Amino acid sequence: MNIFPAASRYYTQYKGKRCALPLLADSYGFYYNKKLLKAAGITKLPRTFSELSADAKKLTVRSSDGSLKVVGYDPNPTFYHGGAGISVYGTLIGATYFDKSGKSNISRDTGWAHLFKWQKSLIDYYGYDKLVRWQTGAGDEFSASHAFEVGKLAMMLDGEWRVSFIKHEHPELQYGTAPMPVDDARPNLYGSGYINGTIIGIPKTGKNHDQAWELVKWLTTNNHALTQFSNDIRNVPSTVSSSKSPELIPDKNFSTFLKIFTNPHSTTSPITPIGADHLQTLTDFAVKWYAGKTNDLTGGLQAVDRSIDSKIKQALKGGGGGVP
Amino acid sequence: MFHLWNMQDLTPGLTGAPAPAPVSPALRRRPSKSRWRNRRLVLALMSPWIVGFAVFIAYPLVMSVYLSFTHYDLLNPPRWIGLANYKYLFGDDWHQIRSSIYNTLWIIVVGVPLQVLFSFGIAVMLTRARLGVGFFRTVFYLPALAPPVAATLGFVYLLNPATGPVNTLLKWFGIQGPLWFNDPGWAKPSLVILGVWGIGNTMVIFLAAVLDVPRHLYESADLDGAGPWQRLRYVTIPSISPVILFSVVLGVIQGLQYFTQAYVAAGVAAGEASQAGGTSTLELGYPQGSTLFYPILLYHHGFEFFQMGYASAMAVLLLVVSFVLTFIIIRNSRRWVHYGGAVR
Amino acid sequence: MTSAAVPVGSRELTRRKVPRDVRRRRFLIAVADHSILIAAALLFLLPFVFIVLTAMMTNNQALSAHLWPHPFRWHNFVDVFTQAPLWRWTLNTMIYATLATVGVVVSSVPVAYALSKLRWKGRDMVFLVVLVALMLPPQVSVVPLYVMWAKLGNAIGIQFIGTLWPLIIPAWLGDAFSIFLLRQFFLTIPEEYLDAARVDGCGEYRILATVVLRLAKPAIAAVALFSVLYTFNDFFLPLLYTSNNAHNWPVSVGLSQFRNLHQVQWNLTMAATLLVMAPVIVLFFLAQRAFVEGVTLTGVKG
Repeated sequence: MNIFPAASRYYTQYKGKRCALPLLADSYGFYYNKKLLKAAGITKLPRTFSELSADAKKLTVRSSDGSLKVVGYDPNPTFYHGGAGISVYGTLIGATYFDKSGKSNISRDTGWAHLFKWQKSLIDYYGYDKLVRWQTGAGDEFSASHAFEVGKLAMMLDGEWRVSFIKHEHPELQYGTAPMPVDDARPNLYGSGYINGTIIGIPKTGKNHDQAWELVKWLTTNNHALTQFSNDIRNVPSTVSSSKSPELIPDKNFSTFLKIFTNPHSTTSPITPIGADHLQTLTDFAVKWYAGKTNDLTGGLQAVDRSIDSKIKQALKGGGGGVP
Repeated sequence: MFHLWNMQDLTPGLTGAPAPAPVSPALRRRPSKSRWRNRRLVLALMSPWIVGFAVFIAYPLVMSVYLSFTHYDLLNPPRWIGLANYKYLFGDDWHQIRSSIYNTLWIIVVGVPLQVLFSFGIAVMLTRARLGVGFFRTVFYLPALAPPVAATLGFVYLLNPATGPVNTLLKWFGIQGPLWFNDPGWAKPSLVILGVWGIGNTMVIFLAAVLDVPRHLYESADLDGAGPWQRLRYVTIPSISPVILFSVVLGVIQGLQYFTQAYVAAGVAAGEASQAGGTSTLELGYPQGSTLFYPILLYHHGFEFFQMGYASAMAVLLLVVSFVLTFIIIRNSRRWVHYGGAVR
Repeated sequence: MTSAAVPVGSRELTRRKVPRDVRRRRFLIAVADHSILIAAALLFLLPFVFIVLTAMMTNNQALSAHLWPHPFRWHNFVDVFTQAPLWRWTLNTMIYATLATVGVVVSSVPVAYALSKLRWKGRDMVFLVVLVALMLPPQVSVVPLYVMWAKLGNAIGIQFIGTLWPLIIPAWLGDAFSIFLLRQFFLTIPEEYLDAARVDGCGEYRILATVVLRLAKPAIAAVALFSVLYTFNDFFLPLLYTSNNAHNWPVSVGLSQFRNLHQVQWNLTMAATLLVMAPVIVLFFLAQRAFVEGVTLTGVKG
């Protein structure tokens, strides 16, 4: 099983039992617009949150009426990101979601507090309402008018699939990729990124289990199959060896994501008996925090912990939780 | 002075049984044979509904009540857990449940009166107009024909704060338009506007009702010197009051089930237009929970997190509340609803 | 104020000439009425303008913020037919709409009559129970009913899943919305008409078939219209029951299928929506004259 990196192994099992296998993966990294960075005089890529904020401010352009025209970096986790939400930042702060006893740990892990404080300070720089207004004018995430692709967004965090989109929709865009900046307090995490991916499984009630298994085995472990699939839709091939395969169409921007995928610090979000409900609860708090509807960060995060714990307790009442 | 053309009767029962007007001799005596015949008649007329109700309403209802006492994830058989779902609903989860109840009540209290008012108002205007009535009628009905998803999408784009035509127009007048579907304070009002746009059905019903008011009532009013407002207040409204009650009750019940438009609008406004629904942004009730209505929370628990037992408990609560509210409204309708349309 | 004074018993109608200021006042009122109507109509049409514009855009532009099509893609309307079996979907929808509507009218009218014009013990409680059907959240009744249809199909050997029958059959067993509407309308029919018919010796069934049906024509027409339009746009339940059998998809399900790997193609979806709505709009425009004219005739009562 070690042909798959640790994170992929993790999100295809539950309590030690293997439920599925990874089939292509996604890793998240940093995209930057080379032309805009050069114009703003930025020569070194940011590696920490504070460097990222400083650069973002230099790159932001406002219109004459005060509204935002070009945004340096949007730290709002509910904007774009292919729907992965706040979990993409979890890796960058080395977050733990749960402590050893299984209780929600968000208010006690200082990484989260750092993250929220950083995000809010940058959002306040733009002005929350102004940022929302700009976001609504930003093109749809899966269209050719994506804000980064048309130069309205100078830097962003996104998955590896964006490389292929840009190639097809805006090949003229001068951009580069790198690992995402990380928490100032944890600079050793630089080079890692959030990992997620597609999985494949065989239903219990299906027929022809043996043939199905042959197909699954070939799809998920055969280097040739994986690299071809990867080349076609530009996702990360899900085994360590295939990610190094010479059959992959070389692309400097895409290779960043292969490195992120195999970085030992790259993680995915935890599997819980409540599915993604812990992320939901955290996000519900986060959006109110960014909007300035609440000023009590510690209290808010503690309420999030309590809510997650009670949700897990409720889910386990049936004797073994719901869908992992 | 206007009593001549007021609706006679005024002791409608719970459901407004026709007034105790003088009964013809043929009906005064009711021997038991005819009572039995009456009952048989009622049974015959109601029989299709009785079957339909038992199979399509009573059965799922009983199942839902049963499931509310279980833990059911749709993959494994339901597991009995007693009152645990209800304890959670009123206990640890109350915070979110309460805000979903607030949102639902808000949309009812604000949306229903506005919809009834506009439907009635437009219907009355249509009866007064002379030119192009057919054209106007079609125009006002048109939005009700639009598929809800397409209509909601259209609205979200129209009210886009940065690029939508509404805000662009406001900018010409020097007003900075609100964030509409992206502002927690404006998201529900935007949904109400969408609802008022789609009142075609109710408008048609009011139109039929207003046109159905017996002419001679208006003529009597005219003879008494009533002006147009008085005609409206003392003839039209009382005559169609059963239909007003219908719209109000239906509006409340539909408000309690309000789902599709809010679900689609939240998803699209959150930037998911290309994905057409699905809450992958993980933001429930975008923005900031302001569009989290009770049925959306129910759907979320039942079909997104596969807690059908808990969703069933939520459904049972909704059913009880709906029933109680409807009962209260109909009971109170005695005071203002007139039936039987007869004038002596 | 009436414009004709008709002395009772006179043999001639004398028409008084309407004084000029009264005519002018009435003209101004008519202008005001129509202005309000025009303004309201423009507001109501505005979202449609957007739908029409989107239908003529390219897919990429449909997802962007630009509102004026650039270029105009009239070809979308043709693409819709080549990309999808629109005719098959329309046929399915028409079958569903017709069968369901006939069923709704036939089964709801007697029930509404029994709940309004007949007197019997427990009538009011039963009426409230009828309304319960409207209060049951569909998301919850969905699961038990789906399982029921699946099991029934296996038991008697006819497949219900994959067809629209699970939606058509309940329509023949009463529909709470229609029952409610019809009941309210029946309650506005003066008891005198029915009593007169009863005194004349009419049996209850005949009263229902002749007197009530005639007097409640506008309500019944409204119920039929709503049923047709509801089934036309019904999406969730048809999706649930026919999604795995594309042959039986109604238009509403088909419309949601204009998508490629990553996105919904809104330009084609809107174009198809317009094509689908067009005949319904024409139908409504023609039908409303008949049904409203029918109303005004029966409005002269007494």
